[in-house]
Amino acid sequence: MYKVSSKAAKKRLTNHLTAYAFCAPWMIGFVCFTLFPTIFLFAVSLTNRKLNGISKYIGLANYINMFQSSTFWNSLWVTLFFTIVMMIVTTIWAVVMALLLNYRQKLNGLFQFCYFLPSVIPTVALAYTFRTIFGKEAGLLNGIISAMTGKNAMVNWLYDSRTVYVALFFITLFTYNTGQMMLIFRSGLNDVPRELYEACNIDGASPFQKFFKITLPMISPIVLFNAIMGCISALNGSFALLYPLTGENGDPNGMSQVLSLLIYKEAFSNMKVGYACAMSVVLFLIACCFGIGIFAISKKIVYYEN
Amino acid sequence: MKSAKTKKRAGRILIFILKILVGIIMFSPIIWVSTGSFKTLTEFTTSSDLLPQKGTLENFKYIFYHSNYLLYIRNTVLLMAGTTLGTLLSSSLVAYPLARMEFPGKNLIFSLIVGTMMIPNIALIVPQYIMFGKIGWLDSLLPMIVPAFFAYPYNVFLFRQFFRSIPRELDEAATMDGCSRIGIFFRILIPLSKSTFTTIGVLSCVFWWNELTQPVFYINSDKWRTLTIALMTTFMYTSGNAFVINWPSIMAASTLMILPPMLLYLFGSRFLVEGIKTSGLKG
Repeated sequence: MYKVSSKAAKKRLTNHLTAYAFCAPWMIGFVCFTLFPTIFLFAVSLTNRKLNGISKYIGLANYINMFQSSTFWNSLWVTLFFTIVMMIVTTIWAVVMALLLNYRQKLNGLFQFCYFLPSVIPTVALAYTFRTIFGKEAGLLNGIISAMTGKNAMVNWLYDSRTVYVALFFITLFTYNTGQMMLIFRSGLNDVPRELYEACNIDGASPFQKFFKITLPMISPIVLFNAIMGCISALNGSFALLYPLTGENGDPNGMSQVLSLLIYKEAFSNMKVGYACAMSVVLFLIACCFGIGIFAISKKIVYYEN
Repeated sequence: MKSAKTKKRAGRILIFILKILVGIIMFSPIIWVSTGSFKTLTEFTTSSDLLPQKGTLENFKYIFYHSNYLLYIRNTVLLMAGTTLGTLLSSSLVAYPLARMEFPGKNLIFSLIVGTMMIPNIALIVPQYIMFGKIGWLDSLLPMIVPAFFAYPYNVFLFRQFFRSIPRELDEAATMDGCSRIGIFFRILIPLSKSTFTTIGVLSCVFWWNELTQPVFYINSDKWRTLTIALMTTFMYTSGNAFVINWPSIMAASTLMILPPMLLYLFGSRFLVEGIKTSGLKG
C-alpha cells in the first residue's frame, strides 16, 4: 500500500515538474523582461541618469521637478483627455458600423472590407496619409471644402489649435481598435436573442426604441469591457499614431503631446533618462488604474452571464 | 398596409445609403494614398485632385533606386519571422499546462499573465532600452525577437483558451498508451490546433509588420531599419536650404505597405477576421 502511494506521489511530483518546465519560458521572460525592468524603472526614476549612462541618486527630485513642470501637467491632461475621448469616439463609431453591417443587405462583404481594412494597415502609413489629407496646401479635405463652398479653404487642420482635436479624433476612427471592436460588436449583436425583437415588433416598437430598449442593454457589457481595453491599447498605441503625425513636441503647442511622446522626448532628445523614467512610472500607474477597472467590470460581466 | 411597406423599403434604402457613405469615409484614405503615389512631387504639392493628371511610376522607381528599400523589406521580414516563430513556440508551450494540467501555483501564474497583459509596453520601454544597451543589443532586431521566445502573455492567453476546448479524454487515452506529456503536446495538441497556430501567427505578423514604437526606440542605423521607420525617415532630405519631404514617394511606400494586409484580408480573412475577433472578446 505504502509503495503504491509513494509511487503516486512520485508521479505527481514529476507531473508538477513537467508543468513548471513547460512554464519555464514564460517565467524567465517575466523575470527578465517585465519584473526586472519594472523594478529598474522605479530605481532609475530616483536618479539623474543621462542617456550616456552617467547617473547619481537624487531621491525624489525628478518627481518634484515633474510635478512642478507645466509641460508634464499639460501632457498628463492630454493623455487622459486623448485616451478617454478616443475611447468614446471609436466605441460609438464601432457600434454604428457594426449595426450597419449586421443589417442584412447586398454587398455586405464589400462593406466590411471597406470598413475594416484601414484598421490593419500600418499606423505610420495612416498618419502620413492623413497629414496630406489634412494638409494646408493641396490637402484633400481643403480641396473638398473649396469645391463645395467655392471659397479657397486654407485650414492647416493638424497645426491649428481649433481643429487639431477634431482631426486627431477623426483619425482614431481608422485605428486597429476601432476595427477590432467593430468585429466583436458584430458577433455580440448576433448573440442577441431574436425573440426579443419579435416581441417588440408585436408591440409596434420603433427602431430607435428597439435599439435603446433591447440592443444596447444586451451588448453593453461587451461594449464597456472593450472600451476599457481600448483605453489601455490607446495608452500604448498613441505613440505610433501621434509620433509620425504631430512629432515628439505634440504640435500645436503640445496639444497632442501625450505622455509617451514626452517620455521619448525627455529620454532621447533631452537625454534625461531618469526624468523620463519618473514619467513612465506615472504612465504605469495610469495603466494600473485602467487594469483595476477592467478587473472590476469583468467580475460584473460574469455576474451578468449567470 | 401599403404605406407601412413603403416606409420599410425607404428605411432599407436609407440604411444602404448610410452604408455607402460610411464606406466612402473609411476607404477614402486608402484611395487617396494609392492615387497619390502616382502623382509627381509638384502635382502632389499643388493640386488636391484625387486622380493624378498623368500617372507616373517615378515614385516607385525612386523608392527602389534611391533607398535601401530591399534591405528594409528584408529586415521587416526577419523581424516578423523571428518574433512569430518565437511566440508560437514559446506561448503554446506555456499555455499547455495552464489549460490542461493541475499543479500548485497555476492560478498565481495565470493571474500574473493576465496582469502583465494590462501593462502597456511603452511604460517599460525606457528601462528595457537601458537593459538591452548594457547587453549590447541596441541597434539590432534582438530586443524585439529574443523576448518573443519567452512567451507573450497575450498569446499564451489565446492558446490557453483554445487548448481548453479540446477534450481532455484525448490526453487520458494517450497517457494510457504510454505517451508522455511532451508527446501529448507534440502529437495530439499541435496537429489539432493548426488553425489556432495560423491565426495567432497571422495576428503576430500583422502586428510586427505595422509596429513602429519598438523599432523607433531600439534601431538607429540604416542597416536594421524596418519599413515603418523607413517611411518616417528615408524620404526627407535637405536640398540647399530647403527641407524637402518627398510626399509622393511616401505615398508610394505607404501603398506598398498597405498591400500585404489587404491581400491577407482578401485571401486569408478567415484567420485575420476570426483571429482579431476572438483575440479581443474577453481580454
